[in-house]
Amino acid sequence: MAVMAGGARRLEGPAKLRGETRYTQDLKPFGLLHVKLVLSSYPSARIAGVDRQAAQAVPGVVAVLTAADLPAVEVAGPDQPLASDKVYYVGQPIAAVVGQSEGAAADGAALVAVDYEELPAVTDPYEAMQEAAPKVLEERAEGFDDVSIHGGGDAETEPQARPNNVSSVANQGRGDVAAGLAEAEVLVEGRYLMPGVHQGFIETHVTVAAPEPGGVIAIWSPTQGHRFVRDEVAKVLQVPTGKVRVISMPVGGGFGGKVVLLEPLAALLAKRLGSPVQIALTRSEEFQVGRPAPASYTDLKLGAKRDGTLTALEIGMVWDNGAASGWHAGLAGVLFSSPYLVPNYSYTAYEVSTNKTPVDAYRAPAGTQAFFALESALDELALKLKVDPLELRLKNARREGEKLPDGSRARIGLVDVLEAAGRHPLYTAPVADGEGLGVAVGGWGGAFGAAAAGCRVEPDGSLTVQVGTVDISGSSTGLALIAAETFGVPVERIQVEVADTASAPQGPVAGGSITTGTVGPAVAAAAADARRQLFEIAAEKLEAAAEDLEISDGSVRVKGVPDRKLEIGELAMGGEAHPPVLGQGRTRIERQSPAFTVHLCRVKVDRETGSYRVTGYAAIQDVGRSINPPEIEGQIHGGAVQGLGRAMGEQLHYEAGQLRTGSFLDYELPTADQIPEIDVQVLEIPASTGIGTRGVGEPPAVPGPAALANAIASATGVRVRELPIAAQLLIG
Amino acid sequence: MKVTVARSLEEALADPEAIFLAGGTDLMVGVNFGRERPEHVVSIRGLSELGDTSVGERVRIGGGVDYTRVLDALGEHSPALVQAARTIGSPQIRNAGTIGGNLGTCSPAGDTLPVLAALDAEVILRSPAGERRVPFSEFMLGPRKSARRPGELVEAVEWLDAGPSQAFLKAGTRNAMVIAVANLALVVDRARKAVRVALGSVGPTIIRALEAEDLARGLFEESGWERPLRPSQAAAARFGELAAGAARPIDDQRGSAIYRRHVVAVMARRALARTGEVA
Repeated sequence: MAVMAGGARRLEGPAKLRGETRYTQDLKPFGLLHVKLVLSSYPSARIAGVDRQAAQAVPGVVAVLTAADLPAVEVAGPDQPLASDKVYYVGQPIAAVVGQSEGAAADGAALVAVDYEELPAVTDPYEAMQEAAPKVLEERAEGFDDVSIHGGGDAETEPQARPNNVSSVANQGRGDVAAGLAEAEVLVEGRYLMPGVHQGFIETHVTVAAPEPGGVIAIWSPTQGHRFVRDEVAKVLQVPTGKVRVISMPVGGGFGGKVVLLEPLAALLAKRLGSPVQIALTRSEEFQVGRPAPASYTDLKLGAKRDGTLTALEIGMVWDNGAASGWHAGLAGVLFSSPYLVPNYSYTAYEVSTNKTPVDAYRAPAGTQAFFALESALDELALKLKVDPLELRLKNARREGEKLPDGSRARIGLVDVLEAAGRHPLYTAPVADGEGLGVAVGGWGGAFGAAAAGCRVEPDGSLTVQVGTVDISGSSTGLALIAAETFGVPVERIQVEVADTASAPQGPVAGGSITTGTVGPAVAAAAADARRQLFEIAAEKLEAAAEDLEISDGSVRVKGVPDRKLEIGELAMGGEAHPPVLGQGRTRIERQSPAFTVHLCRVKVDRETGSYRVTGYAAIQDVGRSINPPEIEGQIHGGAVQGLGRAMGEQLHYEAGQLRTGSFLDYELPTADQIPEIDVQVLEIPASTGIGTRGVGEPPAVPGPAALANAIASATGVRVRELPIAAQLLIG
Repeated sequence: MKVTVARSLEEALADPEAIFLAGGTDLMVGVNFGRERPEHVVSIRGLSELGDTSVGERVRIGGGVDYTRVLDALGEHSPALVQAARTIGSPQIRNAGTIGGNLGTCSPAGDTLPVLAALDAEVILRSPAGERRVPFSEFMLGPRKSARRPGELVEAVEWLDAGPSQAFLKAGTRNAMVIAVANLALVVDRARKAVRVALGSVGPTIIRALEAEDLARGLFEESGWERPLRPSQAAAARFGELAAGAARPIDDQRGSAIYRRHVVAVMARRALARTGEVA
């Protein structure tokens, strides 16, 4: 553990601080053409025609292309690279104006006249479920969405009796919920609303594609999953995956929202034009074209005995997926039933499509929504029972060794984080008049799946670790620490290379808090393999037993005989007598190791205006084995702020299908003055899988909304079940 | 699109069809959203003629003065305008946006506008035909509509120093970088025995709450203009009600009409309490 103690600041940090990092938008390949998209102005319309004459006449405009100019693609409906005959949401790309400069393309795009025949649209999910509502998606349009990226959870579908515009129904449960509710002595119920939100990353969607020799298309993208992009683009282009090469670029914020979006279109355009092309969205385009998080509506009933024992939890959910089929429902069902032992549980959720921007993942997808409802209800129940909110949770918490929703008995630390929260000064300090204290739990499933890694020793004795998973969170620095510790060199001697898809080993999409948990073990195995190979060679050359060797100062030495040493770089290159060193790691994590956290929130409310200020905040989280403490703290800070942002101001507000909060003026990300110091307390309860880590990124984004709503209830007596928490909701 | 960088007022005013660009905090937003595609943009940022700041019996701020300079120039003077300028955007926006731009755009949510209304300021417009002075009460005609004619430039804004009994309050969903849900300026000119209350973001124009003004004038008359005013709870409540009654708010995603009225009443009471204290 010597190497990891204290951890390391991000290896790529200095370059980012100095502005040296080259992001996708900094790439200027020779002959680069710029693309401006013409976006739909209507939530639902048939495209009768596209008049491009005026655009084509703009100096510097190279081409104005529609779906008809591109080869037919496998993708249907709203996920088409360009709409072929119909649009499903405001912002759907209809035409691509290609120019020699961004300005020429933009001037051209402004002159493209689209002839729309407006069709009836439906933008409210409850209206969409009515028989009379127009059908949003013709068939079950299969998009790029893939639930497996985000941590599993199968939606059990119930094809019979599906309401209109419902792409799937998730049903989960155990026991007899009606009996459990009848048995309850205290009941809490309500409908909880969480609006759709955008991931709010700094770098908007951008990609560059270029034709390469041999019919290969190369794509540079700040995607969270470059191997996934390769597979999707190959599908769209109908070429073997080997004909697509994706280069992973530094990610200027992803949070689930940057997997695949513009890449298929960029590839089609590059192929068609024989030139490199760049598509870069402006912020207002990003709000319309990107893939935000779905809105959710949760009807919840929670029953308990007078002594606080939970008897039943009944959940009905509606997910508003925009023009997508959606995939959050199954995940939420698992998360609702993960923290507490409720003997009777029933969960039914509808995935509903509406004429709005299609949704996808945002940090802790389904988790933030589920725990907002669940933890608000627990708080309400504690108030009704007049018991301490932490006591109530402890009484019902799933304890270590008890069966988890997936059937495993993995070690979990829910009780530990609850107990630690009870000792936290933010919890124990007296609550002043006009002040409120809120508690909320959050949880997330964690890593599973397969990964491979390579470990190459360089001539200078440093190590290059090759992985197939993108770094969106500082994870590569953590992987470097793992390799450094395993191999026995300082972390400065490690390079982590996210290889392009032509050479990258298998690795999952970076999402769902799984990178360190799945790729970490592969990196450890690869580094151990390299060390073993190195010692084998050294043992022979130094005429010593491998057990008697050690690595220090860039050399392999015989323990206790400081002079008998050989440099790592030299040994590893191989020669006539030995093959070179090349370590390999291949691992698979079968079971998730859920991670739990408790957030504490203090708030002061102006009872006259309803405006409020978060005055204190703490996050207590079980991270399993801690690999890189400073980055863990950074992840928890960032997650907590994103949770608070959803609680305080962020929302995608649509009127008649038009987004009214499509800029950072109207879409209110939290500002620095709204966020207090966030105290982070990390518990290390080793996970029973892999190298003992738990997912760190998702859990801190979960409890914020409930923690704030509960704090506000404590300060004012007003229970807010609708986000964001607006001042006007807090006055009589 | 043609861009002229004006080197003099004459150059700036040469094309009556041109759009003026100073800080760009409104114009460029419009361009970025595709709402505006001006044919001819005239940059007036460098014009020294628009850079006046003089503080005295009569206060004058040039149309090209950015909010950061407004803050520097006013110091302790006209505290309501200082408070309003401080709530605008971020330091970067305050370094770019100008008071002439706030008047030129004339949005009901423009943060300095209720203060200029409550100060009974005069807007000085300049065209090739000469100077035209329009009292604020006749300047703003509707959302983004003003008495400014095509080709006229906001050269400056002037008002009589009204003393220190002033307050500006803003209700927003957060403290910074936010468009007001409602805002309110109260100016008590004790020397001239005048009270003016102006509301922003709660109607198509800045609204003067005349009945509330009358009530407050009576209160000051009664307690003495030169002395601190500590209104009774009932009087303060009535003042708040009258101010709220003047508001003509709408519902939008920033706030409901009901909330806007409510918060105007709260702000009015608080503003009266604050200005009352300062004698």
